[in-house]
Amino acid sequence: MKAQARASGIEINPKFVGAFFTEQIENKLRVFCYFTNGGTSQFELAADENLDNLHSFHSKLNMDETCSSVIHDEVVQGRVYVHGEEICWLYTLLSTPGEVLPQINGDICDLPWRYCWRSLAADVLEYGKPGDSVHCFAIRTQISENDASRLVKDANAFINPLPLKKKASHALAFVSIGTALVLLVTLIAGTAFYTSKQRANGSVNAPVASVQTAEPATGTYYLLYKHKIAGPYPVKIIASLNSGGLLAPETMCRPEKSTEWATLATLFPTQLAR
Amino acid sequence: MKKHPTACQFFGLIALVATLIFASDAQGSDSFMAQGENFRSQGKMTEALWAYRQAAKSGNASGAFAVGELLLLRGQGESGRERVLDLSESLGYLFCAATNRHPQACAELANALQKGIGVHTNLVCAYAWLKLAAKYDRSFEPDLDQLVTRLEPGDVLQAQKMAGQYLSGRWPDAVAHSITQGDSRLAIQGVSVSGNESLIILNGETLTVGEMINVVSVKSPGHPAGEKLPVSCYEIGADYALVAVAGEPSLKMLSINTR
Repeated sequence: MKAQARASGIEINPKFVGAFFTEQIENKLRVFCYFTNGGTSQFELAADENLDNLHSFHSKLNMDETCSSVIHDEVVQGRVYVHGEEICWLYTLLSTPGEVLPQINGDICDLPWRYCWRSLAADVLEYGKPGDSVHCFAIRTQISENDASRLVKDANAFINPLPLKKKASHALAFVSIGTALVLLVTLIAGTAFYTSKQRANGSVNAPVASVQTAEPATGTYYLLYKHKIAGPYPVKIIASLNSGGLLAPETMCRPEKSTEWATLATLFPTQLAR
Repeated sequence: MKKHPTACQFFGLIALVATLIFASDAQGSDSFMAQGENFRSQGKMTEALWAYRQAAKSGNASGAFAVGELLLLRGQGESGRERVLDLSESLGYLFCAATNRHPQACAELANALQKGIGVHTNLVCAYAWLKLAAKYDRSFEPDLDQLVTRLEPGDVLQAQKMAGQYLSGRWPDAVAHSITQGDSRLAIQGVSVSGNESLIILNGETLTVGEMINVVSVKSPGHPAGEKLPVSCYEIGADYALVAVAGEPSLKMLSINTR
């Protein structure tokens, strides 16, 4: 019977480490490493025989003895402080050479992040997949209100960013819905009148080919860019990326349950007129 | 009182006869298909091909697809003029089945166009045919996503437009040129096949692939000698040359032993 191969050691070059996280659970050490080239590594070790080696590695990364994680500034693209109902979150966006990051704004917490690695102190989140048109990692940590205020002040960070689109007031919303309904009724009545008139004239032609109409911009879409398909993403995300100028004009999209590709201009006709 | 057949009864009779003829045709093609399957399962490919051809002749799209599929398989295993003839005929049958909305036939055409089997590679056309296949049978949708990543955005839109035209019944004339064997006005005196440049000596003139020249026709029944024919060369193999005469739809397969 063939003996099963087993790794007896892992060596990491500290020069290539951009961020490093550890967590000890009972007698187990969990390690997550983010490299400066965008690569990641995660593994688990027996704590009793690795603590000394871990401290030695921490010292090479200039980490305090009490720290369990480090993020080097050179891999930080930006930080976003998000206030929830009771808690504050700090999103640290990690940059990767050659990768496009999602737009850094107040909507960052609404993106469809996936958990890549979790610990009590921090979550490593991933957006998109390697090779996608937009792909990145972010570290999300929970911080106190006081810490958030202090960090924002110390960093001279921009404060209170406005949402991308202001929400309409209730009164304005009702007026908009009313106007839309009136327009819709007018359109239907006009179409019915036109059709009945054409039928009366006996000039209705059987449709030769179905007319391509723009799908309403709802639901989830796949993106096609530089010979790669990514997604599906909610249309809100695509709109956000598009308005931030992160999607190239030649990017194509298709609804999740369709095979018909269209240009982004079809999905967001007004936004691409910028 | 004597009863006269009414118009309704008369047309009813005609309809009944037509239905019976149609049913017998359908039954016949079904029985040929069954025979074909039987031969095929026994490994008797020549007999299976014959049975499928009979089914295809009576308008059975599955029969046409089966002939196309078998010829495609056989052609890919051959070389020289046999390969060219089999692949050309195969594409003709597949085209016939595909235009009768046979999903596998559409997918086979797409595959041939992707890989340049019996036809020049054309990814736009391949995508259009594969889109049709996926329209009729959703199991082809993953293939569609694979192919789309090989196209440029403009090509995708063009292919989708083509697929839309096909779906509305506006089919292309053919996927590949039809091929006729020999032409009594043309005679090859020599073939030189090499890696870099192949050439033929046709009616005394030298011709290479992609080149077009005027040749003087040789004397043949119904055609006087001395007629000027603009001829272009499509392909040269070890034992054949494919040429086109301007204004004539099919390609001519000429071999050294044509005359």
